[in-house]
Amino acid sequence: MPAKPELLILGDSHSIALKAGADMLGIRAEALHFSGSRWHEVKFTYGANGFEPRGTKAGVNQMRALRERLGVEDVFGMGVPVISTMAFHLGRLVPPFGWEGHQIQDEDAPFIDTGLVASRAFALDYVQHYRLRHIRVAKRLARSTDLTIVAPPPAFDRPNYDSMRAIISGLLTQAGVTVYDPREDLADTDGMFTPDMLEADGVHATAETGAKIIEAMRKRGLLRL
Amino acid sequence: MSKDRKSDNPYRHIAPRGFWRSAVSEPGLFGLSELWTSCWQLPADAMFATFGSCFAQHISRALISRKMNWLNAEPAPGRTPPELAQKYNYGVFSARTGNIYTAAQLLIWARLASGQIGPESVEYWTDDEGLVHDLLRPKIEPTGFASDKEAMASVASTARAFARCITETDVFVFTLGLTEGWINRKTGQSYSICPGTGVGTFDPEAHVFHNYTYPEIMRDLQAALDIMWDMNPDLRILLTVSPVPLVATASGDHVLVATQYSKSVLRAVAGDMARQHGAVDYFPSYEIIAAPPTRAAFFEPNMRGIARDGVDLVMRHFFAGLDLSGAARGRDNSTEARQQAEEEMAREDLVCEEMILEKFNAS
Repeated sequence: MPAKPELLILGDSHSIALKAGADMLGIRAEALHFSGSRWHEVKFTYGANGFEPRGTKAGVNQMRALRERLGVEDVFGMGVPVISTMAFHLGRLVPPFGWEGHQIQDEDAPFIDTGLVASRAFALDYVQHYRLRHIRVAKRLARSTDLTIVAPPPAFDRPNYDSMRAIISGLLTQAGVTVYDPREDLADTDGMFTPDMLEADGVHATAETGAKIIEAMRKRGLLRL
Repeated sequence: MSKDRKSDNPYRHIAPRGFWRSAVSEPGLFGLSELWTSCWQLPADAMFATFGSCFAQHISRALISRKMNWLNAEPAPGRTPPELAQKYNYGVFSARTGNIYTAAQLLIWARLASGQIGPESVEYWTDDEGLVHDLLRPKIEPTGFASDKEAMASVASTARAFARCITETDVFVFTLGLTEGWINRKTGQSYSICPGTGVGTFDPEAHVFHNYTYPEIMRDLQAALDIMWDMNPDLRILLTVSPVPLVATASGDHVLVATQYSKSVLRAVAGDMARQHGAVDYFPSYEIIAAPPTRAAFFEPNMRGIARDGVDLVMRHFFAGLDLSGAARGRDNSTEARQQAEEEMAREDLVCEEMILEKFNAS
């Protein structure tokens, strides 16, 4: 049986950089990733054996492999700190919201004078509809382990991404889940990650950035490895 | 003078639909025909917008259910669950105006849409919890807006959508609902409901009851239509009068009497406006529900709500009278942006899946 991992990583494609970063830092980490679309579709559950992917072949296979490797059923409840990117999956949530040209009027943003405006109350209800189960599961996970959810890298300034990001962070925090926003420590003066911190797709963080995120979390005392 | 010449008079040349016996008594309620024939030949894919009092919602729904081109210029954001769309009053009218009960309020929306006035001209009210309500659409948000800025941005958004309903539709259907309203004597603001009845604080010094008269309604409606025709000279206006009686009257009259007065004035305005303009028509939804042949059968037991059967009958006459024989102009109400976003998400998803697969390859 391999040595007990020091860190568990759970999430969508954004969690890949975190795992790569952990590897770069020499942290013994195990990971379970499946795509944001499966997360969005709630292809997971929280049962007697803790968190489990369900209805996603990639997720189910990885879970089985992890259980075999680690020799425990409740992988994410084995007492190892967990960092996760769950609940955001903005790539599946924000584009449909904007299909008809809706924007959320944030208080500190310029007055919206084109297209349609959706209220923040509506946006909150919309997010809650699609993320209620994610937040419930995150809350349960947080009760059983040291969980920190990492917000996605601030990669671009497109309508509604920041608003939705803030709404989800707020809902997680209200539910008692610790959220770390890498923007606070690593973003440029414009609040965004610089292009060299991102993969060629302009969306996902690089392994080096993943390592920086973990380091920043350590400095803030969010990860005690 | 011969007997034959004496008996020749204009009524001899009137079609059977002009006589009560042959048009109403004999065919009965469900045999009524030719109640309304549209004076316009519309394209087969004519685009409609619907606004007005709550009865106008039935026209929206009927157009949608018949898969006709009903412009929803302010739809809910994509993938909004139906119950959430309903909670926030999306999809009720062609833009999120809420009920427009009076011609004075229609005029405000026309002015907002044309840019004659801006969203700052609307009155906003902050409740005890700090939430903001615009008094043009007091019930549009279930709890209110987060700030003045957000409320104003939302009014501006609806005004832009309302402008599209003027510039991009063939027929603007407007249901006149009330003559009674409340105005602010200090600012001139017209309210859709009396301040203090749910939203706002009633101020007897500022808020005064006003029962709009025929000349006032004609004036406001004409002014609204003039603005709309400036924006789209080809726009056709189809007026209807809501058969739904008043919930309450502040006129001092019995509510039944006040209702009849209100509906009579609105009916006269609609008829006269249609006679004055070729681009205005009147559809008799009021008569179909409220005239003697129904014996009030289409009213719910409270004698106010309109039963589904009544709405269905109104809409049958509406569609029977429409002339959609004109050539279609290839109007497509679908959104290209949605398709693009779907494709973008699919590509992004593929990238994400590939990243995850690649991770396994590496390990």
